[in-house]
Amino acid sequence: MTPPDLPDIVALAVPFFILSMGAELLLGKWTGRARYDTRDTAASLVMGVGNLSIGIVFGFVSLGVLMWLYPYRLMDWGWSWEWFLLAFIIDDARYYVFHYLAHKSRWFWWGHITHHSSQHYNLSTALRQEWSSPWNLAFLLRVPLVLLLGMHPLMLAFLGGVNLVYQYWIHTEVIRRLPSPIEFLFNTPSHHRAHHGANPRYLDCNFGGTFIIWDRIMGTFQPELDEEPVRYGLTHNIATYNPLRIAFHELISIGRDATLRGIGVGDRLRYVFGPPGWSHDGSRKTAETVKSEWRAEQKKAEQHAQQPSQN
Amino acid sequence: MPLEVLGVLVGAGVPLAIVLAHLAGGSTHTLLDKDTIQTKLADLDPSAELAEVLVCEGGQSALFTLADGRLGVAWTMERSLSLRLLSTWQLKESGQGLEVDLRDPGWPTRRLQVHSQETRQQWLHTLGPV
Repeated sequence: MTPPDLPDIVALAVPFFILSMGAELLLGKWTGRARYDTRDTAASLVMGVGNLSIGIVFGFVSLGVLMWLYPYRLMDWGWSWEWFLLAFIIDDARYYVFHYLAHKSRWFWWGHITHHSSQHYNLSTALRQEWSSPWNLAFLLRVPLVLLLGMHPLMLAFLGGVNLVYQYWIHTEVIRRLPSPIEFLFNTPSHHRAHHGANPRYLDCNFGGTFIIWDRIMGTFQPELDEEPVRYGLTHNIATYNPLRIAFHELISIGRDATLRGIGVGDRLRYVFGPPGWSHDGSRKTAETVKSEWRAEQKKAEQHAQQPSQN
Repeated sequence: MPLEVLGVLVGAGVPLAIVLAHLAGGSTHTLLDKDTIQTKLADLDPSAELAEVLVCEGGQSALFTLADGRLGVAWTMERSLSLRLLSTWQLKESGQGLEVDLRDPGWPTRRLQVHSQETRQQWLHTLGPV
């Protein structure tokens, strides 16, 4: 079956991106809930333009590989709206896996760190996107969808765009909470604020793209708590607005670590594919270590608080 | 969407958003003081206690020591603040300032303005290089 002519939804959304940022800026000035710093905004937008350009120029690599595999599919996927809807849900689960890996493996984190490198959380942060695709090979996660389920690569590209546009509007502090059923089912500004938190409580949570149910199922869900405001950014924040540094600083660090003298092949591989923060001598902390230490501190504090009543 | 139209939209939209951010007060810088650094430090390590702080000229960068002897550097990013505790570091005199090299591509070598030679020597003597 000939695929329908699908629009490039990200390109179509560009006017909406610009207008909504202006609206958020004005609303933020009025409500105090959105903060835009000039150079931070400029850096985010340049990263977004870079990502868009890389997508236009190199997108054919990932699309080409998937198109090459498509004739070997085991079944055919339909093009009606019901099939689109089902494909969107399945592809969102694929996104959850990618996003989980993007935080758990340094190979994917070197690109994704870009998106988390701002200490602000506004609509421009949504556009602070990585320059690592397609050469981080994350598109290979779509291979099972093409080969086993027979989803057309163009359909997947379209759905990826829809997912990206969906995730744009949740990068805001202007919207606090949405009605409970929506908060239960969908990724919302509140859930995604928690995802961007560098507080130990919020590290590595809420990986869902459009739906938050994947996190609820997999045990990675963490609600945003009013008593613990989210501190945006990285556990070790960067101090640069240079787009090249923002895009590649983690890759350079991986290169340095993986070529350290006196370590074995296993350690070199762990520096490339292991969790961010892993080190062969234990001198750094992974998100898991930070969380464990924090939990232990919390437990100690709770026990300490209970002591007077026991005496 | 034709590439030309996309180019025009992006070419006009990006500068417009940056100008709006500037007009909304986005170009102001936080000025560092001991309280600001202590607050940010508490985010990283609630038990950390500041001992000595050297706020450099301009107020946008600072060196500090903690009560337990650890060292750190603070750098304003407009209204935000980046702060690092140093494990491997270099501190050296550079003209009328001190140069901090974290050997981190995400934190390029920074020159902290310290006009007083006496102060520079004091911090160099206290902190480094190791």
